Amino acid sequence: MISTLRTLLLFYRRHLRVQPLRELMAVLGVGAGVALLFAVQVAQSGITGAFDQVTRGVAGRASIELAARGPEGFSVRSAQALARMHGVRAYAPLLTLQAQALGPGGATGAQRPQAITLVGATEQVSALHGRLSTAFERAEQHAKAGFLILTSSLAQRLGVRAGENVTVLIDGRREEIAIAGTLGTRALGSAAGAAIAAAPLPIIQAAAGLPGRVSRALIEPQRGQGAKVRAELERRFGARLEVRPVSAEGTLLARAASAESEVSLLFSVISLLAGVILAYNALLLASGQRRRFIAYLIEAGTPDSIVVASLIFDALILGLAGCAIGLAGGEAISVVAYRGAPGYLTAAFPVSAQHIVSAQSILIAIGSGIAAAFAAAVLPAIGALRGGVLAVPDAIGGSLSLTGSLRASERLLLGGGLLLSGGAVLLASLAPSSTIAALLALVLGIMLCLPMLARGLLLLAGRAARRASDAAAKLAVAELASTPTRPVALLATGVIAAFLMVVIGGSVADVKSAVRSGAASLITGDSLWVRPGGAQNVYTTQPFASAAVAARLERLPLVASVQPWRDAFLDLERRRVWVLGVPSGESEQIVPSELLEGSLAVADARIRAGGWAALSETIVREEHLHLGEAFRLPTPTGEAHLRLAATISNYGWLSGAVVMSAGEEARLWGSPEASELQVRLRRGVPAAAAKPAIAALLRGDGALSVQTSAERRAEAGAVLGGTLSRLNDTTIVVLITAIASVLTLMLSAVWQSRARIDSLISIGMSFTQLLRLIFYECAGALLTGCALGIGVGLLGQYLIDGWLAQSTGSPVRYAPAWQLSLSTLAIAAAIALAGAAIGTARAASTQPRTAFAT
Amino acid sequence: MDQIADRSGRPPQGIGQAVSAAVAEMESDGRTWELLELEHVHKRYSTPGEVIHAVRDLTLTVRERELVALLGPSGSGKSTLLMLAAGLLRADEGAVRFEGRDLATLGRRDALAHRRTQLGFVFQSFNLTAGLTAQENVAIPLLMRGIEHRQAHRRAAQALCEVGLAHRLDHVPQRLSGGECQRVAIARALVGQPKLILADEPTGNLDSETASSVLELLGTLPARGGAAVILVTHDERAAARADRVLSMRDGMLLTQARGGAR
Ligand SMILES: Nc1ncnc2c1ncn2[C@@H]1O[C@H](COP(=O)(O)OP(=O)(O)OP(=O)(O)O)[C@@H](O)[C@H]1O
Ligand SMILES: [Mg+2]
Repeated sequence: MISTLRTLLLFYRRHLRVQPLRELMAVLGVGAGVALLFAVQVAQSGITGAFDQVTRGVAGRASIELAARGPEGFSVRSAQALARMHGVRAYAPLLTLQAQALGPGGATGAQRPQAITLVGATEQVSALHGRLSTAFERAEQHAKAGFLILTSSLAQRLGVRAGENVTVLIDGRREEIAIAGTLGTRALGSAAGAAIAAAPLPIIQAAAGLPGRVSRALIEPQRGQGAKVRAELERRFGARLEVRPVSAEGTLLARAASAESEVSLLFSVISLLAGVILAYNALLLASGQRRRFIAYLIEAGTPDSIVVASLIFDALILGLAGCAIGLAGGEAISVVAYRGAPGYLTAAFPVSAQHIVSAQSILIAIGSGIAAAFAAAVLPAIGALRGGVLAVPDAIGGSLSLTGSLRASERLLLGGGLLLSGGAVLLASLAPSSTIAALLALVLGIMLCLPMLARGLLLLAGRAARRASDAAAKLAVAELASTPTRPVALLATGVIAAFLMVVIGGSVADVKSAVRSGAASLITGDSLWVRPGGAQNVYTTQPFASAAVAARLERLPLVASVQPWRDAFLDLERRRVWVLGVPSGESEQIVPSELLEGSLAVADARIRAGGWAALSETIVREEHLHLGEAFRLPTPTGEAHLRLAATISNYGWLSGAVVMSAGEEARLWGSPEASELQVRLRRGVPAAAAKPAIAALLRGDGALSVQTSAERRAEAGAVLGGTLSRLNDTTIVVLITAIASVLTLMLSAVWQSRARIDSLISIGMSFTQLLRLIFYECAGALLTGCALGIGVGLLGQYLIDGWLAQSTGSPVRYAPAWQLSLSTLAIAAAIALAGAAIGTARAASTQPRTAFAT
Repeated sequence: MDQIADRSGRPPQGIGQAVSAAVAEMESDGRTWELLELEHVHKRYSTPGEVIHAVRDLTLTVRERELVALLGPSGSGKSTLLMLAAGLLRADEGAVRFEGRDLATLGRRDALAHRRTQLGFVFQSFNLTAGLTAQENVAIPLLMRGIEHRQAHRRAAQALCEVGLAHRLDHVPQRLSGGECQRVAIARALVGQPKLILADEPTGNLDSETASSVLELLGTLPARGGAAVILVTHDERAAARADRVLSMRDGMLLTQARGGAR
């Protein structure tokens, strides 16, 4: 056993010595795929996993929660009633809200406000035995002075210590709260990375201006009483409050992030496939060498089992090395690039991403890495085994020349490839939900066509070169024709890299622009916008004492009118939707570009009249609604009965939007407070000029911000542009891998044909001729591959856009990524040139001694 | 110290007219020019651990149209000597002169021009390009020099005729025998009408029968084309055809035997 292993290691060390570059390239290919897969999973669990961790850490043994539907919460007396309820073992009222905080530097404006989650709790929470709540509660009890307990990372970011004050910006006001202490990883685990600040309930209530209110109550039913308690809660509170499992919000978050995670997963799977193909390329290039080695082993009487074991061992090492590189790379990507939760999610959920590496994501990455290695190794291995017996030492580079039998199988491949890709395109356009599978099939199909394509291209190039006076061109074409593996590998690399670049870059840009335009479409005219909070409140869902502010603004001579918008998030059973309360002064209740079904004028009139609302297509589909049909909406004042005025897109919130009149929303939410004021200026007053006057008037209110329409649009663009933006980092990894493998291919090609190049140098080939020769040999295939990859990529972008429009419910419009395509080509040309330059410099810097007899 | 072999100066024919004109002029002078001179040449290779003296204090003169056979065991420095003679390597000490010009004084560009116009190379493993026909392979050095495609091909055809491969112009190397391949390579060395042909074990990959025909071809070159030949070989038969037979060991010239029947 040990000796077998030693033999296998010996064989492998020999491969490494003989062909280090290609071994490296194969490892890189697998590694890149694994890295992306791993990074995407870590990023995903960093958001949803972190959220669940915090939820569980706070809730402890509680399984049911009573949650308010609006930001105003519900009376703490309702929670106290739980104490007398039969079957309730323990309960704890909480007030959680999103706010911003500033450290001591904040007063001078030297620091940007940090988004935080404020939690107010009573000592009842320790009865639930949650790890986090217990830790916070204990810290609270041991504190000598101050109220607020911060996570250590938050304290660090704010630059504060126990005993100092934190300025909290809540709903348009500033509150100073003294810090009682901080909690680090020892007490909180990875949750110490979250931006959480907790204080006794009354403190938070006072800070939020919500005396006597709580946002939720966590309930631990007695054993076996869960269903009964839930039913009773439903009966007593169901009309105005959500009665749901404590994990429900995490589910909603996962839903909101699902478009992103699905798309990310799609691309990481494609990237893994690309990794397999790159590795396969590398192994194919090395196959001639391996074949000879296996022939040698067989001749030397090595038992078959050892030969097979050696092949398996090679694949295993490839897989493991790929996994090691991939895990390290993926970790680096997730730390550097996928940091933090995307802005559009933090606006709607109290999340702050943490770095959570689960055993599951490691296992998945390793499993797929090894599978990829075997997938890449199996064909060359079969070839080597079959050919091993017949292997003849090949003469003058003729080993790989295309023979008749190859030609027939190539035709077969071409036919199969065309069929597969055609079918894939058809499938994707008929059934967008199958786009993922279709894209994979498309890529595979194109790969199958490459050998025949390479042959055709070489034939053409050969014709052109026959009459050429350029020795470099002639030599390049001849060399490619006699060793077709390399051009096919370069073609494949070009196709995959360009395809991934274009398809990812293009469709991500399309989604972004759809999401951005959805958000920006609301911000019309040259107005000023007043609302609490910063970028985190991008969906303007924090109400504030708007009436007094509006009254003061209206007295300004510059101001023509002040319109209150009233937006809020609302939890439906399966999604957290964005409810827009549009002021009656707005000329159109529905932004025309967001309308999907229904008449704009009719819907407008109906929404203004009240009792009607417009819903996102995703919700309409889920609820099987038709125009004019009645539906129920769970609101803070109870279940509302509304009718469907129009079907709309999602205004930039992927989980879906509801549009009603601001008056209606104020009634349903039982609160007159607006979440944003739109200040219309008198004719001829530019917003930028009026902004200082308005800002001066609001200074007393502290945390209200004033923005012009342009600033507001820019901010929305920046935050919502974060949607899917992680995918762009994916393209960087693809690019780096492709560059590395192209360079490896080129340099190994130069190394492999050292004798040929040395002899050419000896007989009088100049430096520039050699540069051209190597450039032609690689650039032709690479650039053709890129061009093909771009073509397929633009097609793929079209298909993916269709799927994304459906899965994100956004008006994704296909805008072919021409610019990206061009830069991809330019990058490819630059790589080929750089590779040729490096290869030439290496060849020319040493004596051409391999040409001579040794 | 050099011995001038007497030789039957057959009239020049075919290619190499310019050279033969010069030869005719030279012979009318009654003196023979020294084509290549190596004077106290020393070449060291520094490897981690040791310094290898590949060529030591070597002095050698090759005259025009002379066939010099160079024998010696493996590692004795024969290939190094050829590379020094071609200007592909710089001597650490001593001088290498071609027609009186010190190769060390040539810049990169001049060295290239020198190799293109004055030298021809024949390698052990032929180093032909697999996808090109015999004619195209032979035309390559001319194309590299910027000679136009049609003219290059015409001269390539001529050179192939010279080596007896008129019927193999359109064959790719894969369809040629080893001996034929080496003849194509010889044609490639000849096509530029060089003054000196450097052949490093040209028969090393050939069976003995094919080898002797290739040796015979190489033997006739000085007389026919007017090019001198330095022939590195293990083949004792080559010695029989040579004007001079040199023997190397440990980087040094041992003997300078007079050539055989010419
Ligand atoms: N680039 C180099 N670096 C280090 N040592 C070298 C180098 N080139 C040649 N040598 C050494 O110099 C010595 C002479 O080498 P050379 O190739 O000239 O011998 P040779 O006579 O041609 O041998 P063979 O008959 O095997 O071809 C050898 O010992 C060789 O190992
Ligand atoms: Mg040698």
